[in-house]
Amino acid sequence: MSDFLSELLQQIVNGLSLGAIYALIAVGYTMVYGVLRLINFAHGDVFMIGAVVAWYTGKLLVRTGHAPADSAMMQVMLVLALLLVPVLICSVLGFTIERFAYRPLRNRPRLASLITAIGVSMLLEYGMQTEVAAGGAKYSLFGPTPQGMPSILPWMENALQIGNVFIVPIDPIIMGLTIALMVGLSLIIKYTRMGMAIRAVSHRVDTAALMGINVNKVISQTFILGSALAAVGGVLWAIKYTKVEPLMGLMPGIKAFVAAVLGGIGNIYGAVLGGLLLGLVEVLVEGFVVGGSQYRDGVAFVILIAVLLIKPSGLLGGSTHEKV
Amino acid sequence: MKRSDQLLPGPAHGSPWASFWPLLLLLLLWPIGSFLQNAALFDPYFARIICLVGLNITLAVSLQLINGISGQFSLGHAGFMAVGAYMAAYPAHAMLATDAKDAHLRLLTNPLAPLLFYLDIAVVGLCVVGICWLLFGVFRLLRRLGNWAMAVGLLVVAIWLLTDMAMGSGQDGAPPPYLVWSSLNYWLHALFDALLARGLPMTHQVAAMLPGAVADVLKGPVAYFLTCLVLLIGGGLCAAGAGLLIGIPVLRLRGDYLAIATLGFAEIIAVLINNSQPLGGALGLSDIPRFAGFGWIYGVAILTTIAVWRLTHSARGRAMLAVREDEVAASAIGIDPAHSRIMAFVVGAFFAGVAGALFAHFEGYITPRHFQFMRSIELVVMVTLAGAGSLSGTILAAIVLTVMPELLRSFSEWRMVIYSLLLIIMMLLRPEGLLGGRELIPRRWRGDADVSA
Repeated sequence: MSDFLSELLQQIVNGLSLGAIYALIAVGYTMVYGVLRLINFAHGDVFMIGAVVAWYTGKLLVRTGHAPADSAMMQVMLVLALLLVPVLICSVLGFTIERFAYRPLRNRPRLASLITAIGVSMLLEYGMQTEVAAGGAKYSLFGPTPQGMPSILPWMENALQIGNVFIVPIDPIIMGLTIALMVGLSLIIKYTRMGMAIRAVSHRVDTAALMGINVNKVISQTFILGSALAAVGGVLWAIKYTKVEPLMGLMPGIKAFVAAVLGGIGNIYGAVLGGLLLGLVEVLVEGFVVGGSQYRDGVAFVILIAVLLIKPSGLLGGSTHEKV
Repeated sequence: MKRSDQLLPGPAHGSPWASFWPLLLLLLLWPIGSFLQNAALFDPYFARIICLVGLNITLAVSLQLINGISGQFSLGHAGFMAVGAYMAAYPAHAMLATDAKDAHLRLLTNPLAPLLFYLDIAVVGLCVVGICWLLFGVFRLLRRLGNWAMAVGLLVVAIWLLTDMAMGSGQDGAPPPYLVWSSLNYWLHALFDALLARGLPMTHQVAAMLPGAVADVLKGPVAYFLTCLVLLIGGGLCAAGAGLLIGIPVLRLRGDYLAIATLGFAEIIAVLINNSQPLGGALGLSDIPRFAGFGWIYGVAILTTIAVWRLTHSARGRAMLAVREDEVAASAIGIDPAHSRIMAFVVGAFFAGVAGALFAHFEGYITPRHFQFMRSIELVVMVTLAGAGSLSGTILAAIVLTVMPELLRSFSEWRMVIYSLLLIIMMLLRPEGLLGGRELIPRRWRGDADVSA
């Protein structure tokens, strides 16, 4: 029995850690949907770019000899670099995507923006994958083969053992960082002018504009915030699962979207709740159902269909009444 | 309702179908193409492109019915294609396995075998529908008791299903009878195989009882044609059933939610096929008889275009357009939006299924990877490039978007990057599509019908 319990605890830890990363990505989806009513298909690929940039940063740090470092201060600097560089680049990327691909289509039917989002997603994926052979060597932005994340902080690899449960240091880091970021985000949303503006634009765009809010600026800020969180998710995923490839954003992106729908799309707390729930359910199904690893991806879609059929507004979303 | 709230712009206009020139063109080209293909005058690569274009025309036109004309946004069209492909390939594949290993196509001479297979699927399907109806009654009962009862009930069902699957999946052979779901699964698979195998001896018995002349006809080219027809229509009907299954629950969803729901259903279909041993699992089915050439593919494309055109320019089609433009107003004048929406799904799914069946019999092998999300996206891009409601635009868009990636093959590494860039540029510059939802008909042929804006 204690065997089962420790197995269960292990899976719960794994599930919460996975769910935290889903939550980080889902928040980006839900914020963009709140202000633009657009499902940003390219968000999963921003996550992927975050992981790729983290990989490049790690490689650079290893090559210049800064990592692995000895002193604690150097390690802190390394961690900061590993987190901040992808956040910076992905924020710029998110801003660029919104500015050049979505803003021109803002007054057009939503289908156009959706298809553009799909186009941007494809562009990012294939752009990273394409290899050009020139002069006997192959050049690419990343290449189609998955790469392993270089080992920056060697103590990350030692697993702590509590009873029968193995906890890798990255798991509590993921959960702690996610909690901190979510608290920070809700503080921003509740107590800053920017947050108030975002809430206003999510509620009614035209009235917000009448109140003097610069809607373009607010939407850009939303995208930057969402992309920054997705970048953090990418870094954490790269460290936890060590595999980085151009198509890694596909599945987590779709699952994070399902998580956002599960929690109530447009609701940030819902996105977090949905992400954690989805991660838990997925890992538990894989661990405890015989042959469950094949159904792992299907779980997300079954949950999606169930939510859409039973309560489309999600767990924390309000019901939407259609006014005639 | 703001203009930007609508998903799709543009009405569908056009004069009576007799002056629909792409149709006339296809009708003229069809006998020529069939003759040329049989005479093996085409370079095989070129012939393959032409056949793919024909398949994409059928798929795009059927998707245009769902997306453009009835105004729903379906991202799961590849799922219908997959259902049609597998439901047509499975009997054909199994028929080959049971007969001697001769020239493949000569073995397709039992039209009754797949017919019995599909009839039996229909019977089984009706039983399943009956069971689902009962379950839905229980569901409604729980719902009346309150949300908590429903949530708990669903949880109980989910746990039961999962444990049943978990305990039953380790078995070889029949699972013990207390595992309801696993038994159902197992016996369904056994039923499929038994039904198909039974069909073959029965046709021989029937043929033995017939007078000589009729028996000869039943063995000749007529039988071959009939078998292929049964396979295609059977695949299409199975896909139509899937369309019904999907169309009914999504009635209450709009816009983005509908898109994601259809995407989810298509992925579930893909996961189910992936995990289904008789359907080949991840490795798919191979050794499918390849009877689908230019003649079959373009014949189906022509029929699909005619059917969708006729449907659009009929009373039911106008009802669909009305529901697309303003659902509340349409229901106020007596049009049932549910009816229109479901009809669009079912008809669109049928033709997608037939196209899928053709695809299976054209390639010779199918895997779940042929029917992934990217395929649905390619079809949606075709329909968007065409503009909502424009059938001539759809045919043009299907041709352009099938040929273009092939032309880009010379830049093979950058092909998909250019494709996605072109997609973005197209949406930025002309989001209403090539023809803006209008048909490409010369003005003097337009007739009395509304002249487009």
